[in-house]
Amino acid sequence: MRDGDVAPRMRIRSSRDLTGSVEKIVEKGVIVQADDLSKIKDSDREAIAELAQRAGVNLKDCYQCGKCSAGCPMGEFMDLLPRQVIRDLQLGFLEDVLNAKTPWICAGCNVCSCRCPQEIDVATLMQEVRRTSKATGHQPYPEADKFDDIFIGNVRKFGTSHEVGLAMKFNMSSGHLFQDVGNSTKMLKHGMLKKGRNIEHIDEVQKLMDRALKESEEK
Amino acid sequence: MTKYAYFPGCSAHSTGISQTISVDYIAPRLDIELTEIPDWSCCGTSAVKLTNMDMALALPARSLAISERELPGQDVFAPCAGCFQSLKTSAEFSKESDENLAKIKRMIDMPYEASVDVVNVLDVLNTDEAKEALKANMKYRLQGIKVACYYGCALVRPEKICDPDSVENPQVMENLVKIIGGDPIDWPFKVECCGASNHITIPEAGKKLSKNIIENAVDNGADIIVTACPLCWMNLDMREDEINKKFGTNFDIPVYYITELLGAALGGNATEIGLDRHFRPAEGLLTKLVDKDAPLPETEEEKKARLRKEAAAKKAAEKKAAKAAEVAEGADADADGAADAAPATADKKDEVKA
Repeated sequence: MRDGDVAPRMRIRSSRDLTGSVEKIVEKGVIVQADDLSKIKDSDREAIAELAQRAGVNLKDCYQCGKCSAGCPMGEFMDLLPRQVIRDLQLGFLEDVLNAKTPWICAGCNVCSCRCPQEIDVATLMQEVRRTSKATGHQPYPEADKFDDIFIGNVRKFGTSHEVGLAMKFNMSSGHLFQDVGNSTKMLKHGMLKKGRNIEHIDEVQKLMDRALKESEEK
Repeated sequence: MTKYAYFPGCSAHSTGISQTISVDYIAPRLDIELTEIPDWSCCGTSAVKLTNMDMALALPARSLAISERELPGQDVFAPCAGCFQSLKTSAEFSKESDENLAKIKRMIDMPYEASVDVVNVLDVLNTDEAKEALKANMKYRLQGIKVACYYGCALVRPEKICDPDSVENPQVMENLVKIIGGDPIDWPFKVECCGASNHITIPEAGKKLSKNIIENAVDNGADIIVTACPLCWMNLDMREDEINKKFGTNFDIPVYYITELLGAALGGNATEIGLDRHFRPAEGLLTKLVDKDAPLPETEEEKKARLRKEAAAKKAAEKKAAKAAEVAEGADADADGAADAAPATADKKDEVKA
């Protein structure tokens, strides 16, 4: 999603018919554009079906009650509510979902999955969207993506996560240069900034990570 | 003596240091023996899970396989809630089917039978043995301290993996706090999310979530917040000043690990249980301890009974005094003469009627 797209996109969402039967943009009470569901590509529908299968979710189970979104602690910061992500997937709007920031903002708290009356694992679905979004080269929320990459790089290098190195590297690469610098004095005083531990058999971890990547590719 | 294979996790010697220190202090005092899993590696946590699910299942399995080989028959204890969630998710996946186990073994390339169970801090503290040892060995008790027990996410959700006593209103921590004399409050935000790593990637959102939790604890009368997760602890304790600055609030509430609280009851000093490593002043806890055998404070029922008793005693005393006055008056009348005595008594009778 480009920055310039934010405003019209929000307008689409806020004016969406809650039953989801028609996608439309309403300006001053007049419908100026309605999405044509007949234009949705079969390949997108198939990709969505595979995505849902990987997440172990039947998208048809969702009847849009919104309980997931009511309880979502990150809801107010999202561009699509969890309920709307599912609705888009039901309708076939693959690109909208892969470009949404929502799965990248999701804190993974699992409240949605836990409260869904249809027992849909919404959190796992959200994670699957995020993994698919990353695997297909989308990057709707670069900060979150960078954090994950640096973390995984850390584990590959040391076998453990060096928290301090992680925070510093993230700040450098994300441009948040002074984030948490204020806390570091106390951390130093409290012995929290000691150099992390490196494991002995780092080769085991590296090979394991490579085999896991291969396992995923073969699927 | 209960033996556990110990998985400290990457935060153990950095931001989670107070939990590590307090776990080390209380374990032997609660008849718990911890042996660190040799050459354990990172659990992968959310970063790996959000990138590659196969890797997220394989990374913890390596440490579990080493534990199975080196410390057979022992449950794996992960004090970090995030590690617990990752390790247990992987263990449960392998136990689910032979196919799953085969897949994990392909990736870790080690012998592994998926025989280990994974437990968190609350599981370890909530056994009958640990609770009996706590009661027997505690030296001090909290008195009149209102405690907000904060669970966050990874100790209770996903429900299938974490298997809590209740997913919306767990009571395990409350029961431990009651044993050491604390007064747990009832509050609705105990299983809300602290913001997790969003404090780094989208700080505005993270701060709002932590603020909501602190605010709700304070509004419900808490003196302290108690947690069992290093990430929750950091997002509350370390960020309280930032939250005050951002939202113009004036929160001043210490945040402890449940293990620190038990450590204090077991007689540990500030250094021994990690209180000197907090971001906000935390050592005040020790000044609020009373001797374990000190008289218990009055309960609500006892207070009511006492007030009733006092009221009855006061009434009885008044009655007695009135009677004494009457007798004295009677004696005066006798002295004045028998003739006056009769009308005086009649007057009194009239008064009673009126």
